[in-house]
Amino acid sequence: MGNWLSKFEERIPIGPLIEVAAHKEVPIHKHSLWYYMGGISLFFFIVQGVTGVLLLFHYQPGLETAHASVLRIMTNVEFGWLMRSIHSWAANLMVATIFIHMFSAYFMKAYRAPRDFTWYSGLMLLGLTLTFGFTGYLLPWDDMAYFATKIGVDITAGMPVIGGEIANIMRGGEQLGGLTIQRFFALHVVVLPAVFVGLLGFHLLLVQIHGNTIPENIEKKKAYRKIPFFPNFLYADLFMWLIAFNVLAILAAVYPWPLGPEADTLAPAPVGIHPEWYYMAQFYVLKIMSEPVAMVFFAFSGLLWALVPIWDPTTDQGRRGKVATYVGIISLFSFIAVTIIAYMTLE
Amino acid sequence: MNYPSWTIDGLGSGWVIGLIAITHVFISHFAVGAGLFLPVTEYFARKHGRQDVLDFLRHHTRFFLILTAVFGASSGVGIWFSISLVQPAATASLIRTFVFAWGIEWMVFLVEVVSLIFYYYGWEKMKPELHQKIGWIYAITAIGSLFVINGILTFMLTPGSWLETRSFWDGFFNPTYAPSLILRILVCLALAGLWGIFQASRMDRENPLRTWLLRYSSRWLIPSYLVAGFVMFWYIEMVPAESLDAMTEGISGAGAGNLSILTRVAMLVGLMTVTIALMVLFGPYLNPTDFSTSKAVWLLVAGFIVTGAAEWSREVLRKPFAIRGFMYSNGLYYQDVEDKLKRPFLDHAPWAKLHPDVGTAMFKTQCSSCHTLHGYRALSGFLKDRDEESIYLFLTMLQQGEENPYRFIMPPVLGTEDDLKALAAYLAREIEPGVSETAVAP
Repeated sequence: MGNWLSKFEERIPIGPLIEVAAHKEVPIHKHSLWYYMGGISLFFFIVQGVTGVLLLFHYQPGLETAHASVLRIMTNVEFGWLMRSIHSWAANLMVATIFIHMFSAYFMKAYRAPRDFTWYSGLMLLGLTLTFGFTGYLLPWDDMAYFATKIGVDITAGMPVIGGEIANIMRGGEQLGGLTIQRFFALHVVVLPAVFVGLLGFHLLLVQIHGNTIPENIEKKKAYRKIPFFPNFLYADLFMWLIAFNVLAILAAVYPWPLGPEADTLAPAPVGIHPEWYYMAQFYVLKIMSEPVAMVFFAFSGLLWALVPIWDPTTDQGRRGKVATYVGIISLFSFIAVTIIAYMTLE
Repeated sequence: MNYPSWTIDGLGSGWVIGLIAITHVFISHFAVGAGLFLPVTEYFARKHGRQDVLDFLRHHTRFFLILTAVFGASSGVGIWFSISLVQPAATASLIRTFVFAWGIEWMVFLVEVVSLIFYYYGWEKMKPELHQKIGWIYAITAIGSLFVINGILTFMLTPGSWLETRSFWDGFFNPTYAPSLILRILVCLALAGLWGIFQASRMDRENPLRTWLLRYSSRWLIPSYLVAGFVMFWYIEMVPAESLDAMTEGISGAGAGNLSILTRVAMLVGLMTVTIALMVLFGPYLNPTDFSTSKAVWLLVAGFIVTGAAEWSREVLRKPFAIRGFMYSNGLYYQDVEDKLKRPFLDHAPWAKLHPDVGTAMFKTQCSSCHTLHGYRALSGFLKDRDEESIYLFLTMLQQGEENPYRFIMPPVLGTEDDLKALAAYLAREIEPGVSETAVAP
């Protein structure tokens, strides 16, 4: 066995990696639950990869084939309905855990130097995840997918100067159709995964280099202990992955993801058409504000959020730190409240 | 049909039993498992002179006594209240058939509770040998109570040759009796382990006993994982073929997956059983130092979900019967169907006459034991795309015997043509007010 191991080590030297893992430590304190959110997001991404490949074996993009192939996956392919249900639920759970991960990182001030690039890369991963959701939502080509995507693309078209051109590139013409499915499919299964994996590697590398942030008040009181990453934190991480897996399995099995009737591009939009929950707040803002004002609002608030390492750079809990905390609380509650209002005001 | 109906819209009357019963099963199986956990661990501790373990057991007994003797016993009474309201006919049948067994069950339970009280108060006042004996008495009576109740529970799914012989013993030692008893004992041991893990996780992290107890309690789950899979296959072998058809073929369309909800939940039970094993491995067994009480709570929640899902699956597997081959879930006797099927419904449901109209009476008496209008198994969902005419045609299909595709999951509907029309009108009106104007031609 030792001989085999040494031959393996000679060809693929993983010793230094094990060495790093053996000496890496993770702080444990009353807020360390939030440390698991990044790992759980990664778990859901792995699930997306596996189920996505399985769906890829059967899915056929195209105006005539997209809906029919998804219907076949759900009715003729053994456990196809389960794979699709897991894929769809895991996508939603992944977005939810990344949101939680982002807000927890924000409130722990994990965006401050030297972790500012971890913050930026994390936000880019969130953006890619939302794009995954947007492109994947269209692929079954049922009525909800068609009309919700149409609204999304129309919003893009409303952007000043470049909006119309971007929308045309997305659609592959003036209308949503076969070319749109083809382009969204290419983005969803080739471009986005490739970019995502690269960026994820960078993000994880930064996490390994800088370690976990300890909240200031806990650091000052020394109210924490440290445990080895390997094996202690890894076991704890696996425990949390199993909980996440159970939640996913319950949702996917008890509430299988539905498939609506095939999109009819000439039919009126169904009553109560709306995007996925993570776009509902923006959807509502667009309903109550004129589009250019809403666009400026989104751009400004998004920029303010992304650039928090610049306007709250200090390591002490000073005035700006408190402002950042208030901004975070207001943002979080506004997002939740507007999402709820958006659902309550649906037709 | 001979009793007044008790309906709860939204939750559904069946879930009133379900919520109480699942909680009771979770606690009572722990009571049986810990009935072994306590004296076995006490024996070990005394043999090896482990005073620290004995101190833990004394503490654990207090928690155990409060949880099982107070909450377990009161939820058990709650089951009696709820089943006699929701399923009065089936409850009466079970009492009549197993009056002798119920008598034994309550005797055994009495000894179980008394011995537990003695066991708890005897930690400091009894000689070790006597205390240990009391512990064994508790363990034997706890398993004894499971031995009895298991016969009655399994009888409802597989009455076996009792249907012909009406013999107490044939009904009691029915085809699923043995595999079910073994499965339940395995569950009891696993739950004893989970609760032991929970209790140990609350101890001071620096205490070396904590690590020992977490690993020791984890081992109580091992028998389940070694044997449960095989016993489950045995159990399934004993389940009637038509019940298994409901699992393997399913009834749902593409929109809801092409396996029935029963099959999907049963699959979840298997999956979550495996994940609990892995959670115990990565948590209290391999990483006891960093295992927290909150994680132990997650384990208990997972155990509760698996217990609930397994019990729910067993109940649904019995559909459309309360007692398979003998009584339908709405209290209709199987042997009466031919005689009563197309006779006026109110003739053989005297209590139903109290309802304002025949449609309401039909719904409350024949549908509401399984369905609600707008909540659990909502008829507003199942019938949403049907008008009154279509609902009526659906109801006539439920009278077509062997031609009825729903015969394996729903009882036939009793009543004349006018009764069915009245029920269709009621459902159309209640499900979507305003649609009932498109009435069925009289």
